Amino acid sequence: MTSSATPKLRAYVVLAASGLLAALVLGRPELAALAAPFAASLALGIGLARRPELAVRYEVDRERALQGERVDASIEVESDVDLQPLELLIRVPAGLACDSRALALQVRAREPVRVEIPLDCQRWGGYSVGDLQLRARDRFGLRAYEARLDLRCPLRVYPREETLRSLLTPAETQVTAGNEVARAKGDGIEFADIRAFVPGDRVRRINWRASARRPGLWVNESHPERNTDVILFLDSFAEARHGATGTLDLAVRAAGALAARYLRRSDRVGLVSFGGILRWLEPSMGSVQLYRIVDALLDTDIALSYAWKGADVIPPRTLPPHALVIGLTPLLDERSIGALLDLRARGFDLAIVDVSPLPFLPPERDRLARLSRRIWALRREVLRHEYQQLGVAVAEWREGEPLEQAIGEVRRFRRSARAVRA
Amino acid sequence: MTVAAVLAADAWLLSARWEDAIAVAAATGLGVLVVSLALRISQGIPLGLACLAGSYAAALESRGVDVDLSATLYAALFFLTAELAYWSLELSPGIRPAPGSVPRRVLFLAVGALAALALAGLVLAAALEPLPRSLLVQGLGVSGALVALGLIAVLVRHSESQDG
Repeated sequence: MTSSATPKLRAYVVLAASGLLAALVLGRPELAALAAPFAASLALGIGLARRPELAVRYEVDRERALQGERVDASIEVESDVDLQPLELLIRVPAGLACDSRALALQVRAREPVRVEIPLDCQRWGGYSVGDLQLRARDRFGLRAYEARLDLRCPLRVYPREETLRSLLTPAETQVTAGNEVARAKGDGIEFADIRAFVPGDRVRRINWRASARRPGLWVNESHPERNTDVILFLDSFAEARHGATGTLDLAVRAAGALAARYLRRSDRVGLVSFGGILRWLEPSMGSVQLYRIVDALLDTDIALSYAWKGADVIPPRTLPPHALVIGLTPLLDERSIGALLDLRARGFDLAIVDVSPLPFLPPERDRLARLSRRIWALRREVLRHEYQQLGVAVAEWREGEPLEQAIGEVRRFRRSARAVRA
Repeated sequence: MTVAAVLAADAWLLSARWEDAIAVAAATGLGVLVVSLALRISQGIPLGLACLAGSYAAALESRGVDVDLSATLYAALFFLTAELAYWSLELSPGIRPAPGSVPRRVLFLAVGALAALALAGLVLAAALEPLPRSLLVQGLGVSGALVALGLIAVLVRHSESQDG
């Protein structure tokens, strides 16, 4: 701990010295009597002062928590001398909240003191907590001892999961086995059609009822169950934010929920965080991939950048052919809007969940603001219509509404669009 | 603040001449203390205390008595004022004192005030001792005061060197 003189020490020196000098000059013993307690306090205080040796431990009861949960942090302090009081200042990163950021403790010599500090996880993200500042004084308050301790330990706060009962069905499936009924015909359970028997067909696939009514033998055809590749395209160029929540928070929540659901049914899921900093995860399956995705999502942040970026900066392996690309975007930045259009032009199966920035905008103050808001909303409508003209399903998702609703809207559009295509 | 007000009033009541000047000095000291505590300016506290002590010294001079025995009480209250003033600025804003710390501190202050009373009494008792007014005795007194000041300076210096 670093030691320094307190203002009290300097003041007492001045008072004692000036009192004694004034007593000498004026020949008044009363002034010496006034100065004597200060001089004695100084002599005792400085003579008895000892730099404290502290042992501090900082612990968090768990390293992972869900958004909105409370994590208990504890601080244990032990000192070789009495510290009354020991001031404890806790630096809590933004996104976490703490009722008591500053505490005064009574620490007796060689008696450990433990305090519990609950941390409210208000926002998802990766944090390191445990930046402490300690301040103590000697018994007479003449010397101050300060220390800044870096006892940080990681705390990862995961976004709240959205409930999803149904998912988007990709237009094309991949070649490995999965849970998605493929449009192609092959070995599977789901009945597709019947056709005339050809040499090499297995006898067990013969449809005897159909064969009895027609000349020749007829066999059942079925749709195989295949897996799919899903790429979550997270727009992190811009966001609309109001207070603790913003469009990026919603998008991250949706990405986490979609990744968990697709991975649960043996699909391969990849992630492209398209923004000032481009991050990507190649598609893969399994619970390890889920952890990878969630960890990548926690590091997602809005990084201001003026550099023009198109879809060509995304590594090709991240976007496998026939993958379903789900864009999670507030449709605020031209670069991500252009990149999504580019992906569609390249033939990717694209669906967009428009994370609406409207609930995060400040209220309109006057008529001009109302008018400009309406024009802006209309331009967004036009943009969504342009996507739909290209066969891209776009659904608006607002804060407070279930993600299921937006996904359902996208599913309905894709069903009708498929019928039109057929 | 109450103790400081008592000190200011005492200095004013004690005065036999220069009442206005003494009252102004005592009121200034009180005002400086109030402002310093309200705005949490610790540098203002010694200034306020010095004004109060100055008004008391002026009051003593105006009366012209040999030794004022009430100075022991004044010294204890003066020390108590300083301790209370620094205590009020000790904790950073927004920090509540630890449970049980206030009674301990009050006890510590009470003991400090009593010790100050005893020490001041000792000093005055030494001053009342009928000693021959010789140059040797005066020299001893001056050198004693200088040794006390030097001791404080050495201790402060030693404590500063520990910081490095």
